[in-house]
Amino acid sequence: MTKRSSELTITLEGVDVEFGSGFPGAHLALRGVDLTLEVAGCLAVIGPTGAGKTTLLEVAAGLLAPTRGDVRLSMGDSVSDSPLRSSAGLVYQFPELQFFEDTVYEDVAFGPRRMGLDESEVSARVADALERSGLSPDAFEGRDLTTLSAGEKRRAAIAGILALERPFLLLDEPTAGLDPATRECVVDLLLSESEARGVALVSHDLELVDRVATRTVVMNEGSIAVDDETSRVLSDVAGLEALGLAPPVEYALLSLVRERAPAEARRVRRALFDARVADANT
Amino acid sequence: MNGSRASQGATIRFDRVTFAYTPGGRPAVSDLSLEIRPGESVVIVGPSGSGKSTVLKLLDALVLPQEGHVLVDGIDTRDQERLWDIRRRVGLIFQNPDNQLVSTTVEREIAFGMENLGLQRSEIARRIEEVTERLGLGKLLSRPPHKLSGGEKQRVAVAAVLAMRPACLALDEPTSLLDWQGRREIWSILRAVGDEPSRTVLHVTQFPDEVALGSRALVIAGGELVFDGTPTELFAGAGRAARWGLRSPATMTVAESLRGAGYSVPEGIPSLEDLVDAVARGAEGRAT
Repeated sequence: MTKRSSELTITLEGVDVEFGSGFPGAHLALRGVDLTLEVAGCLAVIGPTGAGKTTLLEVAAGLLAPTRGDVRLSMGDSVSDSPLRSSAGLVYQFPELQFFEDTVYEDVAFGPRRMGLDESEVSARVADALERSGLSPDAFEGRDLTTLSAGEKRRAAIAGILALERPFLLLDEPTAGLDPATRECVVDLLLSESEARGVALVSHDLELVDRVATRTVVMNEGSIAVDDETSRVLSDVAGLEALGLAPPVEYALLSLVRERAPAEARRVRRALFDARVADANT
Repeated sequence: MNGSRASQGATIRFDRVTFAYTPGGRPAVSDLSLEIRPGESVVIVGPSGSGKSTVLKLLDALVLPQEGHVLVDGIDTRDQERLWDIRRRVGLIFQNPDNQLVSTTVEREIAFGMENLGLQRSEIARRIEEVTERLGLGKLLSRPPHKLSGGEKQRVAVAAVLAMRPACLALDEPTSLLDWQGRREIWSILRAVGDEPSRTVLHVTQFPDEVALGSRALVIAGGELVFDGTPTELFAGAGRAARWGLRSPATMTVAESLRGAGYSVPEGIPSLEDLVDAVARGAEGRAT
């Protein structure tokens, strides 16, 4: 992160990704995708299974080159010369399946060491990343990874990416399979990280999306169907259900109230919204 | 439809059961006693690592208690000679359907368990037809299981187990890897199966919204049984469920907000329909 990193953006323009090009069964996973990621705030990518959500993250992280179209990192108006890959960190789905060191410290330190940092900087980054993931460095650095609970493993795996200190943090289904308590930790982490860097996450959990994302992209069959403010996207209950996505209860209720007791819609809306503001203040 | 049902649900008893995965280590289940009557539909919740899944493994004799006894219809799971009788009574569904699908087509998958029970071909065909109709799998019969969606796979796994007509259906977080569509499919099956008086259902879950699928809720925390009551009782009163890391179902939180705005919402765990009804009634109340 160098000068004026607040103007850093990842831009995808007309991106197609085709798997198995030229072979029978070739599959177009992304079709003409245009998307801009800014270096602060949280963007959610939602859509049915097979819509291309994970592929989109891989392209934005610089791990997968588009078959057609363009992906670039810009600083203000000029194209940045630092490679995309060193600007974004990608947390894959079930990242805890990819541990390969013995202890929490060694695993989180792996990335920073490969960046050529000296050991004192590595150790500072490990402690900081664990702290941000909700794991106390003193208690966890020396732990054998195999002895962690499922929720602790997930957080340690995310810490490994946080330690890279990239301006963009991309996550694929970060709360899948988590217990409610660990899920809350991940919510806190997403909220605080999105103040410092650009966060983009793929999720089926629209209640999570509602709480953390300011902007939401809906994908279907490889294309971006909607790109709008999260509350607006979630208000299209019928549209979400048609894609097999579950709108949060508040939105589903409001939509039914509009049909059955339209005169109450404003009152219900205020009741649900006021409750949230109260929650946020406690 | 009758044919797909067990003649009678199983009775399950845990009598002061203690089990540790490493002998002498921290027990996953500790001094656990409980009794489940035939036909009951029980949901087991608790934080991760609380011992919920271990209860199901103990039930199916996949692991044996170091202390105490697990009895299925009076048969002790430690009685190695009667292992077959226990496994025939308890049908287990795992979290990840990929771990239990083994065949090349859905039809063969459903037949697999029954073939191992030694059933006649005609009987197998009859039961396949029944569960296929019941779980809406008709279009999938000739498809390879590995090409199905997560929800479809889990439905096939449930169908294969139901076709064996176990007196007890035990499910370990069957929806946790599924998307919403898949979860809804499994929910409707669980509601139907839970209503059958002839089948005992044990459903382990982390989702508070799924607790209402059963008529009885158990909370296991730190390997111990800390709550045994109805789903409504579990979430009644502030903070009780939260102590074990359980959030209230989302509809209950919304119900609370609606009450704050003057709507009269019945106590308990409401469905979305209940909430809309409460709002509509409120409108009528003010109109008259």
